[in-house]
Amino acid sequence: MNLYHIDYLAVSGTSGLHRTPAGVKLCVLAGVIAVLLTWRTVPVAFSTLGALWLLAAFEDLPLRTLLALVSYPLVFLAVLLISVQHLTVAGALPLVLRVLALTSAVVLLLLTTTYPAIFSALGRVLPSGLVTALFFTYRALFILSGSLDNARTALHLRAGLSWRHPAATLRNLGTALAHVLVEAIELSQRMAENLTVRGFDNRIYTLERRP
Amino acid sequence: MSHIHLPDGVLPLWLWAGGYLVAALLLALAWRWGRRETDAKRFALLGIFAAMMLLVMSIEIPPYHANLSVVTGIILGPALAVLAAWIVNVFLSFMGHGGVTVAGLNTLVIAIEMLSGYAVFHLLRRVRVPLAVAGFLAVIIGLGLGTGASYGIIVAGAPTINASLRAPETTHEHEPGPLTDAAQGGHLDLHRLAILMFGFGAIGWILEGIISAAILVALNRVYPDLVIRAETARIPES
Amino acid sequence: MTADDIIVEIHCLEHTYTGGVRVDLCGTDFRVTRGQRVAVLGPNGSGKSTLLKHILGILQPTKGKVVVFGEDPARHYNHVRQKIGAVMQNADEQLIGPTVFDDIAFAPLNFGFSREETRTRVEEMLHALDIGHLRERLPHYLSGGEKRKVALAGALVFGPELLILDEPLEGVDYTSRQEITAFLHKLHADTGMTMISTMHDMDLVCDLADEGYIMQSGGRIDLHGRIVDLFFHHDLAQYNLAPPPLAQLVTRLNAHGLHLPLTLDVEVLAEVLGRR
Ligand SMILES: Nc1ncnc2c1ncn2[C@@H]1O[C@H](COP(=O)(O)OP(=O)(O)OP(=O)(O)O)[C@@H](O)[C@H]1O
Ligand SMILES: [Mg+2]
Repeated sequence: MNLYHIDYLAVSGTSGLHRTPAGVKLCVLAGVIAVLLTWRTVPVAFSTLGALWLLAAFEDLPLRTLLALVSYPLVFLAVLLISVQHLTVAGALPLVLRVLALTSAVVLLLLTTTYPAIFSALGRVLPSGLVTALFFTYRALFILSGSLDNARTALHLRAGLSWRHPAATLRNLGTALAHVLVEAIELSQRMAENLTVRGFDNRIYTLERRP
Repeated sequence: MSHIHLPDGVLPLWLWAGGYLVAALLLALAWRWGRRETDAKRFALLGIFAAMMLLVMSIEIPPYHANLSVVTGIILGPALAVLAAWIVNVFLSFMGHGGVTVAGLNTLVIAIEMLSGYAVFHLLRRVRVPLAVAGFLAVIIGLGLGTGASYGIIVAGAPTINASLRAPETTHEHEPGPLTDAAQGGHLDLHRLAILMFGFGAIGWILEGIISAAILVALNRVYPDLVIRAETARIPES
Repeated sequence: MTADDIIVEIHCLEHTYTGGVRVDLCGTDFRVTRGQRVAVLGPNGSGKSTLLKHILGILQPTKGKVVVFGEDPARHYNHVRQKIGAVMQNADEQLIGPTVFDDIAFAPLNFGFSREETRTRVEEMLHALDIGHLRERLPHYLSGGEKRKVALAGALVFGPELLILDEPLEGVDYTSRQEITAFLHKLHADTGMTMISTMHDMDLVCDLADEGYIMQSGGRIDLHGRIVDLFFHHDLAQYNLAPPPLAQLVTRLNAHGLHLPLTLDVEVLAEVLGRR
């Protein structure tokens, strides 16, 4: 899954962008989005896109990952464009460039900022309960991925997923997912126990470090 | 593909900002409504089920990807489900899979799937419809309504999308006389879009319905309490 | 010994899980006094973790009585929670904070310690367990041994009087294991902290405990005594337990008339044998 790769890049990177505080990057991102949505012209989109990619190249970010991530929303834009009658290049170009620029801005943030840093920065504007839930989900993604991998392995070893036997495939998939669900429920129970023992008070604090 | 993977920069401001507003109201309601449960348990369930939804979305049998929204809605109950929908969308945005601006709208779409799926399942079980059938129908109706909501959002945004397809540079030049459609850059064919979304969507709903029914049946066998608890809208206790 | 010195007392406890599994922890009374190091031993599924969860107030007894620091933990865990630190069987699931530093700071901040004091205490723990280099790491990029150390730091940082360890060294490599045992040893020597632990590795029992309770499969607490006595005077095979090789060797050699002291300390034994 993309998430693990993004997480790793964000955690292990050492570029100047990585070292910029998350709050600053989020504000810049908001600014870039505002600019792109206010001046919906080709030159604005094009120059923003160019600036972002130059920045990425200058900071030595993995360009291939950047391109892969940026192309994902383009697929969905394509679905929309298929439904357009009399589509012209001149008509599609501003839309495509704007989407590319906006996505690049978001992806640049993701590749250089750890999720905990993003969430703590968001914590200054969002209610603490929601931010706490985000932190939990982030932890759970890594704790749960193991049991999902097990389910996948079991599927491949025992039954496999193949469209030649669609009914059996779907049923096997359902059964495997049911196991993952059971595990998720039990895990949530243990996690709640751990939280209680550690005095959980409805929020996760992040401490500023001493200079 | 019931939820819209619309990128940023396509929909008009009033639409996505409105989406955020309505989603925020819904979240605030869900938050207060779910207060019955002890908080540690609530947070743990929320985090883990949101994570599970995200992980399951990564299981792909191309071009289809699984999506446990309705099953999650059935197990978590309405209050937690809405919160889980929001978390899932925040993560999708921050993985580059969904736009940042449309996260509010997408939360509403997934919440509609979960809530309607939950309600349908609940009603059908009350009139003793078999578990598998109730699960299947809940998914079909839930995802159908979700797709309907997505379609509605695009229809609402269509004028703006059409406007951006007419490259603004040409309109600023005050050319005399009406422009031909082609010169204007074309417009969204809502009919074609509907066929795409609902036609292909229906295949996905059926796959999802079968998988979800299998999940509920297996869950009921391994862990009989769960589905029963889900039916009484409570959360598993330790 | 005053009543204050009794830290945990469990009498004829019975627990039925929601699925219907019944764990019967009756038999010998379970009692831990201040400064003791106690091991709970028994086969898989005998109810060791269940027992610990009752002490932590996570589970409500179906029958019987649990008293911890004079309170019923299932009802008033809030009154005693600052006196108890715990490392659960799966340390991974216990790490909650986004970074190691934040995770160790989790409990003290919840318990209302000031930010400044919390920072100082976290620094102390990082230093004591020699994990300062992990401070800004995210929990999922830690090794199993590192996770245990972080969980241990998180359990000790607020200065509890009782430490609960559910298989603290499972899946930990030799070096980390030595480090953690040495740390716990020193902790007990310095502070006299009361410790209750479970484990399957009999070699570790004598490092981490002075007394033991042995459970049957099904839960009954059958035996209680000093670890040395349990290993030398009881047949533990029926509990799926084998005494450590050293104990077996001493028993065999004594059967041959060697009259060795009943000890589990390699140094002591080596010295006695060397002198002969
Ligand atoms: N949450 C639960 N729901 C139902 N049954 C449970 C639950 N937790 C434990 N049990 C059952 O209770 C019994 C005792 O389990 P427990 O975890 O206390 O054993 P244990 O001695 O710690 O085992 P191990 O050495 O494997 O850790 C087992 O039969 C187990 O299957
Ligand atoms: Mg155990």
